[in-house]
Amino acid sequence: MRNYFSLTRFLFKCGLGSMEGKNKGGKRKRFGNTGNLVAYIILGICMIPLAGLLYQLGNEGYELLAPVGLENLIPQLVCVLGAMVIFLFAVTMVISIFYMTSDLEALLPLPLYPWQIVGAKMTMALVYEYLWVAFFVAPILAGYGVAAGGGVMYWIVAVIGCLAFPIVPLCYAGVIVMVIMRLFKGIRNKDLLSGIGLGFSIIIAFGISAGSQFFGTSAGNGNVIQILTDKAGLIQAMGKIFPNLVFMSNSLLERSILQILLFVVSSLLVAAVFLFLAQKIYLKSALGMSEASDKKRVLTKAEKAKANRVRKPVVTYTMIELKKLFRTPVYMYNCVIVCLIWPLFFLIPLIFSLMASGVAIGTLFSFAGQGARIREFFGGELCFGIAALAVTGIVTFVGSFNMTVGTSISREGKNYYIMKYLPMSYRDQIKAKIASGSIISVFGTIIYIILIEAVLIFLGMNFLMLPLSIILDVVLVSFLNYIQMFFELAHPKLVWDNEAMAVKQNFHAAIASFLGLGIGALLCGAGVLLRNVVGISSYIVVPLLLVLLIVLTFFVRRTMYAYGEKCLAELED
Amino acid sequence: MICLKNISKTYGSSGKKAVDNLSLDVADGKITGFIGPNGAGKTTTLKMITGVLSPDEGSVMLNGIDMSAAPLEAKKQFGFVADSPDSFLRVKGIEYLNFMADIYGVPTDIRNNFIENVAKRFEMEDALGSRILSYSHGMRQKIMVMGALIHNPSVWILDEPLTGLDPRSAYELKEMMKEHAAAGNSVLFSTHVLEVAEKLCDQIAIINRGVLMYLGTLDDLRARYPEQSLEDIFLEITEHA
Repeated sequence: MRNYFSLTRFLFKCGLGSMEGKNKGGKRKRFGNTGNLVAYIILGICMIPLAGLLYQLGNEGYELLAPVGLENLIPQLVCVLGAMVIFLFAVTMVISIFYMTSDLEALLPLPLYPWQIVGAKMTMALVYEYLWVAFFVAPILAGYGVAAGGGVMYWIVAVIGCLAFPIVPLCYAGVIVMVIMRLFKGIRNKDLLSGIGLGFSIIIAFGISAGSQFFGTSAGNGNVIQILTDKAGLIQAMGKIFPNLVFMSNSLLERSILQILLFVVSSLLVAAVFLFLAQKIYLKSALGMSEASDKKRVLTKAEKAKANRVRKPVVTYTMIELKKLFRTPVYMYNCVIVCLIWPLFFLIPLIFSLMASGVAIGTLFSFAGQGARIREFFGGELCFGIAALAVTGIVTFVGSFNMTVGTSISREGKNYYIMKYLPMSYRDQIKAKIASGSIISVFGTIIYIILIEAVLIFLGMNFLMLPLSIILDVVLVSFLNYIQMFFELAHPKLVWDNEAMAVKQNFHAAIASFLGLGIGALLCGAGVLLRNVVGISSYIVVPLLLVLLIVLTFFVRRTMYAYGEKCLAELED
Repeated sequence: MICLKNISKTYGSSGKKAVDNLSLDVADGKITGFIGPNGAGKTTTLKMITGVLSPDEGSVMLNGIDMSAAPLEAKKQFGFVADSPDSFLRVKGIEYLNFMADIYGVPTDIRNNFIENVAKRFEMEDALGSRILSYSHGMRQKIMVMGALIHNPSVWILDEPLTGLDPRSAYELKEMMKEHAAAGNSVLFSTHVLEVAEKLCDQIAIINRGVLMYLGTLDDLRARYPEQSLEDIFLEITEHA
């Protein structure tokens, strides 16, 4: 047990060490520990409104369901759904913490029992899951408790229940992952695992978005009670996957210490079984993990001829940046995927909202017979302005959330020195990094914009909207990338233990993203103001703002390059 | 040729000098070994030569070109192999070599011949199509060496280049260094292995705590400290610093 506690303490120190302000800026002023602490505090504050909404959900849910005697469904629902969501997130977390960390190779040769290694890592995962419980499960139970007049016993069992809540889903995820890793040797590849985990996360995110959209629309339509009654059987069936959840929901309903103790003891029993299994199979599942598996073979003459072509330095640098992005799962999912699948963020909630409303997609085509009125609407200057707004919104969204440029120097990490000794000007290197981000953003938007504009022009819009949209896309993407590069040059995050830290825990890149969103909103706001308040036609406002954006972009570009050359010249250990 | 004149570098606010008033000439046609204990300032010096760090004082000249005045031209003069080969891991070996060749402006036929010959010499032919991430440490070291030398620089700067190389590859690299120096070029490499320095170097530079303790030939060094092995001489010099 002593080794378990020592290892747990040590792993936490290593994990939390990433929170320290170790940004290397050399002569530049360092952001330091305070900055990262502030970032986490701000993040916590940003989560408060969500927690508030969930509190309302629990509170008003009780008010809604109590008159029909269904208020007991709330704790049951929270327990079951909460456990399912924790389980789904735990799968990716277990993959990451058990098999992807760089400490694994250092720990395996040590005289530690497998259950001690797994137990320590499980404890880390448990603490991360508590963040989920604190912001998502606890607020609903708090809202419910206040509305139901819970009393002291309710709060005691709720706190104990929340502490023990993630144990069983985490253990389930751990067992499933370990068994799969043990049985399928081909999967023991960090890149493949990383890709699977990240893909799984995206599916979960879409699932939650779809589910909340569906349920939200249903609630708005007053169908909540019907849905809960219809789905009660489903909820009970899901509850059987986590049989000890009945103790937790009963303890909340009956304020029973005995029930909550049964819940805690049963959770600990599951944990004990999990550790027993871990002792048997973890090592065999973890050994033989490879970074990448590439078959070795001699290149053919044709392959060599294709590879050995001469390219301009900026072009070759841009291509290398793109290859590194696409071939690193973490960078691919955090920087590239968003730009390519962003339409799904709007389509999926829209489809589920329509389903919940009972509106058939076919009814949308009933407008087909209104040809003249449609052409009159789409041919007007109002629609012209709306289309420009939409393009600005789309490009701002995609461009701001494309962190390629905003993390381009951070992703170099400890290898940043290569930028310093290559015989390529800093200006050209910055140009190549911006080009890689711009290519992704433009590619992720231009096809959709051209399609949408083509449809709108077919419906009667002024054809000038198409070239204007394309120019707006390219200029706005460039502008947003220059802003991101400004921040990146000022505070690159060069010290990180794994690639995820370079992109996910990059506070300045996040600020640059939000700033980009703000600028896009300002642009749209200015357009609306000029058209609706000042009374200038969209046919004048749109080109005017585009010219203004071009001038601004030119100015920002010049300043950024001058600043960038100075920053990179001064960048040192 | 490398000329370092009175270069100094201070880290942090403590004022402690990592390199203190160091002057060193690496002449053409010679292999110079850069030896020192851990933390002596070897890597800091090499980083100043390659432009990764700017010296607080002094000048760095490569083939007569001042690094601070004409950095791009100066950087074209050398090929640098860092002590850590863990870069460009997501890129295939052949892609990395072509990237370096493009940056240094190497024509197609020259890069083709170089890749063909050196890959054979280093037994890397069947690895070029794979990502560097899948390479062992030694293979990563070899690909970094290949990338640094693809443009046939007159100055080679290598930071502990033999670490992780198998005996054949280490032999091949040493032979390449000898051939390069024999052709009238300069080679500067840092090492901890005194036997390598003994067999390979025309002159050695011993650094300790940022200060150059000795610069000269091995014969002169042995003459100063007769009947002592190189190891004993090194320990004595660095102990009494």
